[in-house]
Amino acid sequence: MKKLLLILTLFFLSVPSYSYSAEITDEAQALYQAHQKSVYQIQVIDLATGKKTTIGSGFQFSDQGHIATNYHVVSNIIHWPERFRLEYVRHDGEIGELDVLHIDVIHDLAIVHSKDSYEFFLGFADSNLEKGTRIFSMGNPYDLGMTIIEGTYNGLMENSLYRKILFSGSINSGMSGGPSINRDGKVIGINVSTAGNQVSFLVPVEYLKESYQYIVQREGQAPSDWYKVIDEQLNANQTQYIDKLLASDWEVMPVGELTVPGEILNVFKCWGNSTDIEDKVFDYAYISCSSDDNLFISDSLITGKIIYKYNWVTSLKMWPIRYYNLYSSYFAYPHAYDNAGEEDVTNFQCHSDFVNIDGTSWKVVYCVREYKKYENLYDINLSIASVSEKDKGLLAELVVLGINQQRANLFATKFLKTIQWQK
Amino acid sequence: MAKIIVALFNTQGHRLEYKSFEQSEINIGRAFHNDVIVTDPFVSPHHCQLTRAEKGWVLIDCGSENGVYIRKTLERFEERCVESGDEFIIGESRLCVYFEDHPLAPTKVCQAPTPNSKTLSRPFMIGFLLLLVFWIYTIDAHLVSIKNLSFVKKSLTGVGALIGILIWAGGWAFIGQLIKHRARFMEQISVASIFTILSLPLKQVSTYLGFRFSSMALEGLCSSLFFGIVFAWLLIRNLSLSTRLSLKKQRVATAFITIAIMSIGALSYFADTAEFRSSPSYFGTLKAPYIPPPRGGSIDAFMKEGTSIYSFENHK
Repeated sequence: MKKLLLILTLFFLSVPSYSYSAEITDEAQALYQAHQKSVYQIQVIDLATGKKTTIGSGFQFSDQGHIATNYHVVSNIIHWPERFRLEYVRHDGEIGELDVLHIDVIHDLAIVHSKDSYEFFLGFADSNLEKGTRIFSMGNPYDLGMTIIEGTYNGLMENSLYRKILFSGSINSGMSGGPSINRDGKVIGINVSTAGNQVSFLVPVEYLKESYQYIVQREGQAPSDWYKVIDEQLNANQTQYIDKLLASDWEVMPVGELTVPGEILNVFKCWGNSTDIEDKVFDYAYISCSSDDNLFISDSLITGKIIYKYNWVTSLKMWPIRYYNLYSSYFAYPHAYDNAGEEDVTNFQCHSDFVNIDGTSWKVVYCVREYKKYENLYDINLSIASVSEKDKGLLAELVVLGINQQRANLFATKFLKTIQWQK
Repeated sequence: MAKIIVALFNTQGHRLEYKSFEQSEINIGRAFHNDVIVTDPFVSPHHCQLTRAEKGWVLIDCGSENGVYIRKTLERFEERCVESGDEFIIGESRLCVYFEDHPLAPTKVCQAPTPNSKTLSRPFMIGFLLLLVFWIYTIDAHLVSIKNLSFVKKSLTGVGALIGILIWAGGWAFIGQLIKHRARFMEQISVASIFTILSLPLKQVSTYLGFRFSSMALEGLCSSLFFGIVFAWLLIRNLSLSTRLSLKKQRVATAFITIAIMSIGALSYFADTAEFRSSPSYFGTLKAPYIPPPRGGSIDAFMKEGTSIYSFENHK
């Protein structure tokens, strides 16, 4: 019997693994044994059905029952406290209630608190490691049970508005909010998102330390109005990065016969495309630039993104009337705003006129919609089309999500003033 | 001898008979020997009789099952003097009696039939108009296409417009044939073609105005106004060609139909527009600079003017 078992074991071990996950070492096993007691599954329970709506992971980081997780895991509790309840599930299956003490929507962090204090917790380390350092991430993917995965630290993402650690390992849904620890079992980051294929992101632990300072200052009291907290964070964040954008000299790039704002900060990436069809009657070159950063606020509201795109459309011996029919069809369909729902934003209001840009006539449409729950935050759309030429023209569109009026106007003005015909 | 006229109406009020008699005794009933035969099962074979007496005409009930009534008062009688214009009920039918000197309403004046418009019914004219429609709509299809389409495909739009004209004109010709005994198909075709030809450039004019003054409302207003005017003209022409309506009635009918169509259009536009639209909606048509567009103000002035879009209704 024993022999058979041995043979079977050998057989299974010899089956090649097609998974790309890193090889499990004894180190991971030891870390898991040592720290699984500090890691929790976080569940958002729908009160009407009693079933879980969202799951994530979290870890205790103080001896007073403070647990860190992602804001996106607990966001339903913040927006609809009357519909949901927050619970943890410990490694031994123990279930208990949690209260939210602090949120950081910019870095996607939340600190929750359990009244049943538990002795096991994880300490903090510094997130500034050498590239290639081995780190371990814990969490409960797809509600399958607590797991530990091994991967490598690949530095801070350079091209992002919000600092994130690039982690080469497979973080999956449900592991959000779990800890990523170094070999000493100290937390260096919090699992937050994945781009698939071992490309995952962590929030540097420093932001968690900052958040914890707020709790210490407030002596563990949760704020009474979460919307105000989110509002303040969005406005403060915007002050930081929009002002940086407004103050910087923008890199320009050629599009058709014009120069336009290019990758205005290193966080913006531009992608291009153009036509290549037979028997074509027009040419177009399309460039779209955007920041990759989204701020998740609720299931129906995502904000914080900037997108700008250009279409340089040239006629190939089309009659001007025909060319303009085509040209308008590009202009008439603005960006599809799918980032917010009816309960979050108003309808757009637009102002439209001819504007003199670099000595020629342009049609400019400036549209704005207001956030219903947050003060002085708007989504804007600026669509422009050159209308001085019979056979060519540039269409440009600027989309900024979550900006205040003054900065929106300054940003739009700077954007328009940067556009110039090539001399 | 003075004549008497007997008119017979059925239950629906349709006149069945209008007979004048010179004799002094007129028998009325279901039987075939009567002078006035009433095919009403509720009328007796020999129901009543009109007799000339010294004092004038008298209606006598000849022992009928269901009797004879005065229509106004529903009073039953056996014998009664008759005045011109009196109405009686026998069974389920109505009987009216007139003397030959019964006063008549003045003759209504009808519109003199308008002679065929020579210009509009000339085959050359119709051919020219139809060809114009075909080319305008085919060229329009070319202008809105973004690919090199074959001529056959483009011409389908022109053919569609022609078919539309033929159906419209055919409908009115049919009405004309019924009402006026004249179809005037050729003139109807000309009228419908002129409408079709005018509506396309007028549509272009309204979008140009919308572009020039950056206003979706202006474009909507102009296009409905232009459409209203041209369509009203078309309807008035159709009505005067095919019906006997007076000019006043034609105008009332036209105004009513045009306003109804435009209101249905406006209502369905508002009904179809979702209350929450996730993307901006603005007037996005651009026009080629054949007429040079206005230079436009400065960027700063534009931004300053646009401040008003930041005032939202209070919804917090």
